[in-house]
Amino acid sequence: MLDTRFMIEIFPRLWHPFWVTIGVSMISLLLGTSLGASLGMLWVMSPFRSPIRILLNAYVWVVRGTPIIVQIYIAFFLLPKIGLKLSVFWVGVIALTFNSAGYQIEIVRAAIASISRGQQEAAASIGMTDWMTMIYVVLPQALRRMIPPLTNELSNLVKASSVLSVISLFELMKAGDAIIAASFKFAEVLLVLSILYFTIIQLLSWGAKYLEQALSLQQTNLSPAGQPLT
Amino acid sequence: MLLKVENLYKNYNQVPALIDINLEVKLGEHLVLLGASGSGKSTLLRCLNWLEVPTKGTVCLDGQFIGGQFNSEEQWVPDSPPKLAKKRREIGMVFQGFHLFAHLNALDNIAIGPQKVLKKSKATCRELARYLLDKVHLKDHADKYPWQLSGGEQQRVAIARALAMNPKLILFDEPTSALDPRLTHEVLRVMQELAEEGMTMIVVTHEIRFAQQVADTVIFMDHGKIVERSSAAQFFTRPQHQKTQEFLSYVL
Amino acid sequence: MVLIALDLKFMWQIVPDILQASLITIEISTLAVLFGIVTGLPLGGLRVLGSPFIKVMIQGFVDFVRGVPPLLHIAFIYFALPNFGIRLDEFWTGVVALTIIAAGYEVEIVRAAIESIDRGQSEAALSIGMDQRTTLTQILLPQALKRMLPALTNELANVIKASSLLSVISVNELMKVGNALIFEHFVFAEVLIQVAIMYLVIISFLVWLSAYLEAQMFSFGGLQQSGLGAHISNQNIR
Repeated sequence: MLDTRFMIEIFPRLWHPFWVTIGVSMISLLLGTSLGASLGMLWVMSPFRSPIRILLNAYVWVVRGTPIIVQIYIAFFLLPKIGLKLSVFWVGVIALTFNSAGYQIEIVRAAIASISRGQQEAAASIGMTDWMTMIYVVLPQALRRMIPPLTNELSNLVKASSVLSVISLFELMKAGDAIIAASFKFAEVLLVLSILYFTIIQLLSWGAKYLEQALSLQQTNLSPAGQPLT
Repeated sequence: MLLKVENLYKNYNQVPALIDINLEVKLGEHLVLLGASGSGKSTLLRCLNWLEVPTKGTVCLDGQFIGGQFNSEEQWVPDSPPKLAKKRREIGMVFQGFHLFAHLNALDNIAIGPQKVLKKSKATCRELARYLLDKVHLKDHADKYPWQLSGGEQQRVAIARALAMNPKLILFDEPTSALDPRLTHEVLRVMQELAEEGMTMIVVTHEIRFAQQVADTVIFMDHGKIVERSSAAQFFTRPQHQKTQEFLSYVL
Repeated sequence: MVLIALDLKFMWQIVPDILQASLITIEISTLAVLFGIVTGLPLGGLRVLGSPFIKVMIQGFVDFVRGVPPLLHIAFIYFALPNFGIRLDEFWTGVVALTIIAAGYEVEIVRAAIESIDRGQSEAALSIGMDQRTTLTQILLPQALKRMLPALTNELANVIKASSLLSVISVNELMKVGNALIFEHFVFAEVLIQVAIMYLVIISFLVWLSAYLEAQMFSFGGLQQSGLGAHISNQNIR
């Protein structure tokens, strides 16, 4: 019933779009993490109800409260108007980066909060300032704890990248659309796309579970004598 | 007079935890704070390096006020965070929960203070760290991470970490309370060696025998107040106050 | 800068269109969530109580639905239905597509809700001779339904976000209408701002409602929730 030969034939045509999808997702993840981690650090170190916190809360609220397609359109229309004439690839990266950072601020905050107060007090007791404590004690540990949720975030970005098809980025979804339009073989094309997306995301989730296990051996918070570590 | 505490009060939401604390500690003195849980001993200790901010009163180390200072109009000006951090270099603290930096091995835990706070060279700090590790009898554990060390070993690394900053005095907040009984002696031994070398120490502990052996002065606290303060010899043989006598009857 | 010179008169003009489109968005999404429950309940129940084979099959279905971008589901329904002779109007095409997306998450919600009920309940039911199916329908589901409310409300918020993707097919929901206005009148800021605000208002309300319901659960006879709503809501649709 399904034209399996056709399914195999279209793989070469999806090769380049596949890498566009991966590229836009990974770049957005890296930039989003940098932005999210910086903003998250800023949030943690600002006092309660300070203007910085209020602004950051508003940013997170808007990014999480609007659909990604709205954010993509905003980037698409707004960036040229403020003088940035970028290719759709980079428009997409910017939109996904700001979106991802909004979610990653939460991830960063949770990771930082999970580092015990005790270590922060110990750092203070040897004369470290708040910034030093953050950079030398808290962040190195927080970043490690962020790896599993970050892999989940990459999955979300891969899914979100498909929405970039609406601004004509030639990623996987858009390429699939084009093939369907030419051949009308929607089932075959969509099945291939599903397999590709699903494989990427399953690999990522397995990678996350592996990383989580590898890290948890280190972070097992019990000393050999069975006493709770900090 | 190394440390002077005057008229110290601490309230948590109107509930008094410390009431009118006054005490003095000489250079080289070993002071032990005793008392039931909730008597305020740990709170007092944590006020000394301003981890808890007192509601009223002052703490003065070697002529310098901790947590702030008086300006020319006799007004109290709280320290900026960097200034407070600088003053904290002079006071070492060892915590009940050890709180070693989980992402660093033993050597780096000790070296990071001198390196990042005192800005000494990496080589100097590592050498210092090895020396201190040896001093707490953990020479071969330099590369181990906290989760690979027993509680007693971690606490000894924590003591070395505090020593690395070359403090004028070290505060011990129930250093052995979280330890398996088998492991307390190795920590107490290190503390005793420190005391014999002349380090000024203020120790909150339940280890009465340690107090009897090492303390010069003992303070007994109850419900936030200092009930009795005397030399160690007198405290254990001729306690004056009724509450002290009651306490001692339980523990001795 | 162009942002400051907003055509306020135009913004006022399009308000009725925006509001009407929002209504469609809410309708489609709510229907999708409800239909999602209708499918999610049996699937979720089977996921908990079925044979190992069934459990794996259902988990595979859930993983697949969630492991593939929502646009793919929408594209599939858009092409597949007419192909099988089912001619639905755009509205119902959208509902079907969103239902699949919603169901993928709702099976998990149902499963978590059922599993959060104390084991003792099902053991007691079995001990008085009830079979698996009766235990499920008489004992577990009634209790589970209450627990699912916060998570379902959160799910509705997610589905509303997903509904914006229906703009690529011709459903006249909020994003599509916004799109049309942008290309008809050559303005973007005025339209996008209102569209964004509309989504923000709807979704914020639902998120707040979800948290409120979850708090309510805690106060009712000590239900041990362990943050059921929060756990599920970590699965976000963008």
